Amino acid sequence: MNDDQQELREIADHEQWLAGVLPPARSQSTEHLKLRVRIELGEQWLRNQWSPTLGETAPHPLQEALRHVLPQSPHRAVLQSVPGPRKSLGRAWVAGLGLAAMLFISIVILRTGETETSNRPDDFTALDEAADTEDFDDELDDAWAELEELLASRDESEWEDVLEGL
Amino acid sequence: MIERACQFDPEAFDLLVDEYAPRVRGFLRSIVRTSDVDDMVQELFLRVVRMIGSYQHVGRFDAWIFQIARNLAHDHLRETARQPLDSQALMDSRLRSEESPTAQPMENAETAVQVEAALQRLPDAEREVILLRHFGRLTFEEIATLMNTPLGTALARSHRGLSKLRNWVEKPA
Repeated sequence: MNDDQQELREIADHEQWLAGVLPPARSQSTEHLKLRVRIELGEQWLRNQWSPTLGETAPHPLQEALRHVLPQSPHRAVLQSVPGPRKSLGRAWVAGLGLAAMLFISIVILRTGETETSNRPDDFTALDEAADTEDFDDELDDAWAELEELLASRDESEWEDVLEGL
Repeated sequence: MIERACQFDPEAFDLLVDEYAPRVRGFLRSIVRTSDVDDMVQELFLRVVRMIGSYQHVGRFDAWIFQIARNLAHDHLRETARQPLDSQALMDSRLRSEESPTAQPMENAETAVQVEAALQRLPDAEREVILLRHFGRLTFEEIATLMNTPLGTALARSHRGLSKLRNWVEKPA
């Protein structure tokens, strides 16, 4: 028997002696430990749900499975960029109000053009003449009516959406 | 069981606790000699939960979990100075122990205390190899890898340590 084999044999003999005099320790109770482990398991599961990556740990099947059913951070950002129905309604109303205001202002500007001197270029003559017509008065009244209608048709709560959109 | 534990199965972890808690506790108690062993055992299993995802199924799970235990013990030793072993206090705690329904007879308890006291006289590396074999049930190859030493060094440490240990216990000065 060579030295290595002799050494291994002696080690085995010593270990057998040690096993007889030093038995493995017994935990007094594992119930508390098991409970604490279960709590940590739950917390770890939550951390894995909200974290896009595992950090120092490697991906594992559970997390990969969760990624397929839970919103991911990049997708979540895309979803958040799409406005909801209330925001869309508010934005449409703001756009309509803006158009009505622009129409009103345009008409007012055209109307005030009639007070300018006769030295204005001929190109504006037709506009001046048109400004004197009753059609422009009607259009002005229509614009006011449209604006008032828009204002009256909205609930007070939707003002908040408008202001938020602004 | 390991596969299920990697998927955070609570029942699999219950089985892991049943299997490894006694062995880890024995290893840690012999290494760090502290009354906070139960806290360290708990900390070990919490680390297992947090790191189970990094277990690559390369090598045995025993080697992996005892690597964590070894790191935990070294962290504790770095933070605290090793206290001299109080053999009488240890004997008292064993006599009062309700750890197992089949408590050891007084004679065996005294021998166990002597062995534990003798373990503390060994160099750290020799003691560690012996405990990883006894409680961890690791192979010498696994121990060599874990301790980052050649296989022959691990064998030599085990042989020297066990020889001295047995000599001190069976032939006290």
